[in-house]
Amino acid sequence: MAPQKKMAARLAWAGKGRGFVPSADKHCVWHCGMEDRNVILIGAFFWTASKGARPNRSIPDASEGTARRAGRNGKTIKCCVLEGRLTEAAKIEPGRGLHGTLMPRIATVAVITLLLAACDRFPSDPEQSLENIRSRGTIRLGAPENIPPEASALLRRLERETGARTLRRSGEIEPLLQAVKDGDIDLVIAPFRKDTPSATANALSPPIRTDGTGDKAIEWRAALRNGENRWISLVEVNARQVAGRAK
Amino acid sequence: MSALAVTTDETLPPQLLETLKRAERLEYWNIFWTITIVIVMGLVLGQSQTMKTAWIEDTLGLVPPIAFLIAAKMERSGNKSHKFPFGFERVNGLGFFLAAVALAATGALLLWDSAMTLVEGEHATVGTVRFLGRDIWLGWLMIGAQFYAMIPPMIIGRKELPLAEELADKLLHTDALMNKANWMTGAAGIAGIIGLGLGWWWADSVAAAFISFDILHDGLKAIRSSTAELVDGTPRGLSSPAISEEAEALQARLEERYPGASIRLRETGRLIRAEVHGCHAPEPYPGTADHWPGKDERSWRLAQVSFVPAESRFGGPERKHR
Repeated sequence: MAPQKKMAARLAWAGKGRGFVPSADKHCVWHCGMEDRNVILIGAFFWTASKGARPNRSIPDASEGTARRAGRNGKTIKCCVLEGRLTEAAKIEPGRGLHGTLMPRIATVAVITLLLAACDRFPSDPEQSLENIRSRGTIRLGAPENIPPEASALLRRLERETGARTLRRSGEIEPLLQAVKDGDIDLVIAPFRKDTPSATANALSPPIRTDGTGDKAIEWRAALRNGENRWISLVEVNARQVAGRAK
Repeated sequence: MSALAVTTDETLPPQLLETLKRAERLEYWNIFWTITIVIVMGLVLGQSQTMKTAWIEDTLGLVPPIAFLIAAKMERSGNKSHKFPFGFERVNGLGFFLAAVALAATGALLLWDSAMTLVEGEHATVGTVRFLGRDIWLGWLMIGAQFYAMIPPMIIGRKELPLAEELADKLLHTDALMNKANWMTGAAGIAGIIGLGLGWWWADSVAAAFISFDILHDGLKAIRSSTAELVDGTPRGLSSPAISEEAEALQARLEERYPGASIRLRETGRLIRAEVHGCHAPEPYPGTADHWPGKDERSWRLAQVSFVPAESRFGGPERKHR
């Protein structure tokens, strides 16, 4: 079993009944899917933990003698009083005084944990394009009458990834692109000239097929609604694979 | 009309020249690391407004060190001539002013740009890239680049600060503070990308607006400070437009020594020049450094004390200005 699949299986097992869900998408580095409430819980835990250990600034006058107190089990632990609270966040360096050390560590761990925990949500669609496609069960496609085999291959892959079937609308490219921009359809697969991508108001996938060479080359690409980054990422990854297979 | 008596000591002490050279070396490193940051950020720029703004801020970060190096070179090796009888010690002030204007203008432009993106509700597209044989969301690389962009400025800023204070160099000091505060830009940038990743399209523009506001704020603060020097204002503090403590103490010392005289202080680069109006130079003259109220090792700052015993052109004794 591939390491990623092993990890996903382990997480699915570990998360059973605990709010963890396995990831479905393949463009995420770690498949560590976790529900929102768990992400929030982890964040809240680190936030609370860090509140008791705030000093993250140096106190040059502090001396080791004043900054020690008896800890549990008779051990002496380094600490300091800041804002009327005794904390254990201190490190004493000769000649430099007292420094907070725990807060940066906690902050770093919290940021990394939150990023890892939320990784599966990255990126999300502001208008939930991918979620809508899955729940609706249809990919609303705009395309000219004749499309190359690479476009069909891309659609088959997207249908497999989303569990939805393609609902095709044909017509002139300009109105179709406007419909994508407005969110009335999910993607347009069409031929674009090499110099047009920057002029379009939509996000374009990598080319899945190129006809001709040089500046006059015609590239078949998928155009998607700007900012729908999860849906865009899914199409991009599959477009690259289709283009790779075609070569 | 009485003759003008001027006593000057404009040569910097050798240990200060050594500090200046150390600052120059540090600025070369600053330029090197900033260029690496500009390249790394440029490679993962994408369509993100936050990244664009942070990238422009990082590129602008090259202006103060370059201005400092040019000014320091001219100050050290630029000889006084018939055309430039006062030398080039004020080049630093000019560089500071130019850097400040560039910062403020760019900050304002970027703030407008971010606000418009927010108002028009533009959604930034951040897709995937092929990286080390994997398809990876570009946002992760952006976050990595932002982390990288935070580290060198923080280290360099901390190293610059004591040098700037020793040299009484506003340009270097502003650069140090900007570098030290760079973590905020990085944190805002990372927050913007994370927000974008979570589907909050507005997070990108808001983070960009925050960063551009920071650039504008830095620029305006620097303009206030630099114009004070250019219009012969009383020397200002390194990090604030308020009159510096050294200047206040010097003013008090001169007023105590020459009661009834009008004292005027101004700054030319890192040097302070004093004019004592309405009295003659004492005989024997105790030396320029003797007027310095602070520590001896800082007395180099007082480069000149001029005595202007002339009466005003309207006949009466010249009014005392404070």
